[in-house]
Amino acid sequence: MDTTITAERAAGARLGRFLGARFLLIAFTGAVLSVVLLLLAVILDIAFQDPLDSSIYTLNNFSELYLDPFVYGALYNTAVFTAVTVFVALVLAVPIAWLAERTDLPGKSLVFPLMTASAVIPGTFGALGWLFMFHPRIGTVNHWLMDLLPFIDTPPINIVSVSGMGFISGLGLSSLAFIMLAATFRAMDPALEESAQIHGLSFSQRIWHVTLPLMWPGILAAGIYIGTIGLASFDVPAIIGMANRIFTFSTFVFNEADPQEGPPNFSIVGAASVLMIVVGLLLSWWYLKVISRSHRYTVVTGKSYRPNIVPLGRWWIAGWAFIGIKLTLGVVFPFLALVWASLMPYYQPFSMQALALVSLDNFRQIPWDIFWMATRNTAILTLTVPTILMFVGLAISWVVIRSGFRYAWLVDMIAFLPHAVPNLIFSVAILVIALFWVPESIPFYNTVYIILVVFVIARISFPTRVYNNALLQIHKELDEAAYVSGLGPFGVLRSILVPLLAPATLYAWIWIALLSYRELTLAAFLTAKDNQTLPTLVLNFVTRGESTVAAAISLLLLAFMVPLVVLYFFFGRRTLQLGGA
Amino acid sequence: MKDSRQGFRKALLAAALLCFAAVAGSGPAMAADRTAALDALIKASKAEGGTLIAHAIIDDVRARKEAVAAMKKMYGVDVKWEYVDFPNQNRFAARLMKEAKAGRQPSTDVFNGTQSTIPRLLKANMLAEVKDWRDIYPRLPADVIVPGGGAIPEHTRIGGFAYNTRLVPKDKVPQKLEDLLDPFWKGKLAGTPYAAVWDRASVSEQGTFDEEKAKRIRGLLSEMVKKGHIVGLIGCGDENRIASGEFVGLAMMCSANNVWKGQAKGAPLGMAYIEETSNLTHSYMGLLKQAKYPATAKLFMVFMQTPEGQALNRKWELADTSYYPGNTMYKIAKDLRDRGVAPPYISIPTYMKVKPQVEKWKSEYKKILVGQKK
Repeated sequence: MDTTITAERAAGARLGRFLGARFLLIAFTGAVLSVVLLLLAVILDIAFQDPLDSSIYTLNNFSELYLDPFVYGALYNTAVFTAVTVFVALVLAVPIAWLAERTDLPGKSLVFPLMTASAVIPGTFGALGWLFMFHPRIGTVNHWLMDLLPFIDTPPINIVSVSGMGFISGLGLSSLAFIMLAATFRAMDPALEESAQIHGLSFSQRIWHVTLPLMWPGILAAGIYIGTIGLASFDVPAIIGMANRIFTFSTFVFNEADPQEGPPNFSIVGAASVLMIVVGLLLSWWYLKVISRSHRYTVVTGKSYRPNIVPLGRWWIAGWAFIGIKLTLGVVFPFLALVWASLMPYYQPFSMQALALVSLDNFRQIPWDIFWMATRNTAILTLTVPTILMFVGLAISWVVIRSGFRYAWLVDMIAFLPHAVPNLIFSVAILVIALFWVPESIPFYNTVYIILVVFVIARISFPTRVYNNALLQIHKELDEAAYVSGLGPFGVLRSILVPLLAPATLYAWIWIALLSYRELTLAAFLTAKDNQTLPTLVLNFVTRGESTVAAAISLLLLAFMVPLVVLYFFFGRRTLQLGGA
Repeated sequence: MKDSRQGFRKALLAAALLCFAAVAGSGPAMAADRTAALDALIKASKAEGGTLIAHAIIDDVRARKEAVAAMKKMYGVDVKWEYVDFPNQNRFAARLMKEAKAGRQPSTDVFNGTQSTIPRLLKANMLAEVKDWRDIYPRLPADVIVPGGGAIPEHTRIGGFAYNTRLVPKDKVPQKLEDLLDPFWKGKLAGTPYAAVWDRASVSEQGTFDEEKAKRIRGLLSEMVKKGHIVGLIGCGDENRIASGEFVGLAMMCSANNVWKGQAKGAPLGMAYIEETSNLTHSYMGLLKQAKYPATAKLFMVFMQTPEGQALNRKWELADTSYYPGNTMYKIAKDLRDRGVAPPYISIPTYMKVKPQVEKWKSEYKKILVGQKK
């Protein structure tokens, strides 16, 4: 009897601890997400404001935007562009993540730094590099092909098209998809694959019928995330698309909202954001529907979890060839374009004649005082944003996946929304808050902190996607065993989940650090005299037509990333070894 | 005899002193342009500590150092320039207006803008009222000062057709708008998504708007787009994309100094001034009403009017103003007038008179260029 009472009391105490911790985590999550909702409310407010007089509310922004037949052409282009982007990103990222995580590919620890390195090259230069290679008139590759193949009289490759833009964009975003998928592949238990092998399924059948379905939530999450980026993507559509009168929704809206002449019309971006929010909600709903059947995809259990490695044999050559093609197209080309531009007095395609013009003059034109200030601000953002987001993301994901909270779906939806909203309008919204709501005595407006807050809010969906995905694959029985052993939720987080989530945390941290390092649109609207970042400095030079100086600064930006990538190389490898132990 | 010798010596000494003063006084601006109002301004600037918060004017860091050194030499003020690097003037003007609405200190004391942004700041009552520009610097022509005195020109802009000199034979360089309909240009032209220069083409120097001309331009633009001559949209700062050959010409480029900057780097760029579209406008320096250091801001704006300031702008930005004889823009404007191309000068008051028509037609042209309207 006493034993029963003691057991009941212990169970009651465990439940009390669980509920207490759950309440704290839900409250914390609620506080963070209320900032998201506040920003979204300001965005909705802007959407209904008259662009010339914010005291007047009107529906004109919506009619102007959605009754224009041109917009539907832009939306069609956006749909095709996004579909190609997602397709290319996943077609490249899924096999590379599999090669890096599930095979004995020689030198595979190099794959991570190489894939992440491609992310730091500004999209502007990637796009310009591609133009110089494959433009129908000035593309070097087109010229070579036409010289080599005399029976061709028109340029064989035309990158100036919606699908061409999607290809370039997908190539760039495949690194992000890779980062998102690598952790999932790593955590996958091979037991089902082995069973399939025993039952006589061939290698390709196992991949198709077992591995890919097991990876489905991870692939879907990456696809949705990449798709949402594609919807709002600006750099490639602006450099290649808009320059050739091919508009996507984002370039059309940006052109209306932020013209180089005439007053900006942020209300139209607000009206556009409403559509993006609806699309974001639909995608989030779809995603949640998939993860509601999450138990089907649990791959790390308390019993017999042991990642297995697939021997590649001679196929490793094909594996590296595939990675090599991706890296050549996605890293080498843009990098060479960047180096070339930084050494030229004005931007021009590669030629032997132009070699005579090579000089370091662009580096001499860098305003070093502003450069160092921007470097300091960028360093603050690169280190703090991912660190804060790791805590916030883990708390939100725990509430969504583990807490059993009745409104977990709502929490997840709200956390996803910032990703769907065009970055530009987020900056406009936080400017309104900083100017009108935050007292001048608090150093927030025109400081690096305003950028920090908006970076955290705008990127909140990324760690939650990564952690949701990773938590789904860790069976609840591990948590339950720990609870029975006397640990509370924080203890479970600290002792069980955090160590198991270490690879995912590392990937996400590095990736958010990289995104914070190169983030442009959000910062561009918030910087002034004292809170420049390196990417906004690059943008300022591009805007002034000094793209060769911008290239020189971008190269320095890349050079600063080398220690981080090297650190990632060593630390990441160590974490992988520990994780696999 | 002794008196006359002494007189001669005195005259010699006076002449020597004058020569010394001329040499030590760093040129004509110092000696000729020093006024009591300027002295008072210098004193006020020194009291402010010489802090200058100025936006976008003189982009090159080396040029800013030269400007600071020149101001020290001319005025004896140790200027500490806090440069506001915000090249998108439209976005920055919107930001300044929001700051004013929130009752905040503006992010800059001197704003660099054009007829697109200065009238907006004027309307929002954000520019300072300055009545003593000509007391401080008498050479500044009264007609270039923006009403209320809140802004004065920084350099003069002349728009036109920019092209790649390697890819355009001399006989194909357009002289009139119809020349752009030549089949040679098929697939080779870009425009700006904001219809730069086209929008002001129908404005006269007297402040009238020629609707018939605007209709004709609309027709021409539509034809250029329909025939596939204009196939791209780039910004006025994208002259690199003309130099690279991606596009062969830009119809139209906001300001010739973009092309001259490219030329100075060896880029194969040329500029054609087409009578029907080319016009003279200014890039302005606006003094914010709530400026933190108004005296230094004003002193800097005055410095930019001096021969030294103009020379500095010419050296680094390849730009100066059209109203000081001896300036490059003065010569260009005169040369164009002599050749029968008479670009009208469109001042802010002129622009304000016809702004509704300009905006209306600008919107039409934009839609044609972007593809929203056939």
